[in-house]
This record gives sequence, structure tokens and C-alpha cells, in this order.
Amino acid sequence: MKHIKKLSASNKRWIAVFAAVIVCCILSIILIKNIGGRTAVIYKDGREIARIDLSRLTESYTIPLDGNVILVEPGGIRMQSADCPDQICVHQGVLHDTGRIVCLPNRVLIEMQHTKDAPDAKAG
Amino acid sequence: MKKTKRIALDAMLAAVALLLFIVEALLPPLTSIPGIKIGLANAVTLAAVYLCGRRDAAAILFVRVCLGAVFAGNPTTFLYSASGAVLCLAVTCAVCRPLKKTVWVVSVLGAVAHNIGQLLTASVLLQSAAVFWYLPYLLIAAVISGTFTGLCVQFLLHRLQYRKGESQ
Repeated sequence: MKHIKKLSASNKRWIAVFAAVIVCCILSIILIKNIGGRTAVIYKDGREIARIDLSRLTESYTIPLDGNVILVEPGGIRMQSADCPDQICVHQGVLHDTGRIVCLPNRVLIEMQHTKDAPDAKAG
Repeated sequence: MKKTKRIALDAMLAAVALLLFIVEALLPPLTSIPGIKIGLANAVTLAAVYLCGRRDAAAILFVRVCLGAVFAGNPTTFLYSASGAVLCLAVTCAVCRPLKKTVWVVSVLGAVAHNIGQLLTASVLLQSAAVFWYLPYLLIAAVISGTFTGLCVQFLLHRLQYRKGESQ
């Protein structure tokens, strides 16, 4: 069991490299979580389908999109149902301020953006 | 190694890889982030690179990805697993010799390449670079799962070497 008794120098070096990678990733995740806004943008096949300012909604409604049904409610957006087998997008739950929901099988992307970046917010 | 023995060993490794792939596909998703899994089937690819050589490992991987799509997937998942597998194999083959002593590092680098390949495919299919926001999550997952499967292979290779020395 010589191979697990002590760590060689190259093992230690690689552990340090990967630890640094993980720390960088955690830092960037924290950064990503702190940017974003209250406008939800829905993309299908890379094209923008809808841009919804969640903070101005007063009642909830659903958007059917092929196999997916998106539920929009005041202050939140979620994938209500999907026809894909894994249901990952449904389990991702509700988006409030930041984050994104991706449905890979149906190529649907829901993304939260800064409201001030949204063109219709400027018009309003 | 005799040709017949080599073919039999390759076929067995391909069967093991396929089995691991299917069993893993049956497990519920570990997290809400798509694309995160243990990657047990990659352990077989990695072991094959060292046991049978790079060309045979590529053949085993090809069989596993194609049959895996038939048994536990659809055309879209095939695209994701194929793109990840090709990039993973390329990186594994490139670094397997210089990093022979630290097999787990080869595994982690392969896992990182696999996830980057999948993200590239996702960005093409979704026509959006937004999927790269997932990169930090996927990198963390790749380091953890790659270390796990890599250590499995490292211990396996060590035992096989030990047995070989014993029988001689």
C-alpha cells in the first residue's frame, strides 16, 4: 500500500492546482449570483421569445412553448412542466432575482437580467 | 497480448462501460444543474487507455457512446455525450503518458474537458453563450467526480500490476 502512504510532490502540486480552481469557481459563483435584475427573458432556439418585467406583474399566467409550460407570477418565474424525461428544468424551481433555467432537450433558456438593461424598461 | 485476448478484453471493458453508463442514467439527477454526474463510465475509458492502449480505448468509448444513446438516451443526449467524450478522450490521450504516476490527475483533466465539450455543444444548440455561466459549477463537479473515478482507476491499475507480478 505504498501508493497511499504518502503524497508525492507532484500529487501535492496537483492538489494545490485543483484547490485553487475550486476556490476561483466558488468566488465566480458568488459574483455571478450578485449580478442580474428582475427582468426574465425567455429564449427558444437562441431567439428571444419574451421579455417580462417580473416586478410589474400583478397576476400570474402561463406561457406554453412547445413541450414546455412556463409559469410567470409576480416576482417569480418557473418551468411548470416539460415533456423531457429528466425534468431538470422543472426541478430548478422558481427564479426571483438572478439565475437561469435551461431546458437542454427543448433548447429553452430563461434568464434573469438587469431591468435597467431591458429596452422596454427604458420606454416605460 | 494475443489478438483474440485483446478483442475479448476490449469487448468486456465496453460492456462494463455501457453498464455503468446505463445504471448512472437511471439514477435521479444529483443537482438541479444539468450535466453534473459522477461519470463512472469514464473510469473504464481511463483504465482502457492504460490497459489496452489509446486506440482500443477510443474504440471502447465509441461503442459505449453509441450503444449508450440507444439504451439510455435520445439524439440530443447522444450529441452531448459524444462531444464530451471526444474532448475527454483527446485530453486523456494527450496527458496519459506524462502523468502516468498520477492517474487521478488525468481523470480530473479528462472530466474538465468532458464538461467543456458539453458546454460547447449546449452553446451551439441553444445558440447562446449564456450556458457558460454554468462553467464554475461544472468545474467544481468535474474536479470532485474526476478525483473519485480517477482514484478508483489508480487503485485498480495498482492491484492489477501487483497481481501480474505475483503470478510471474
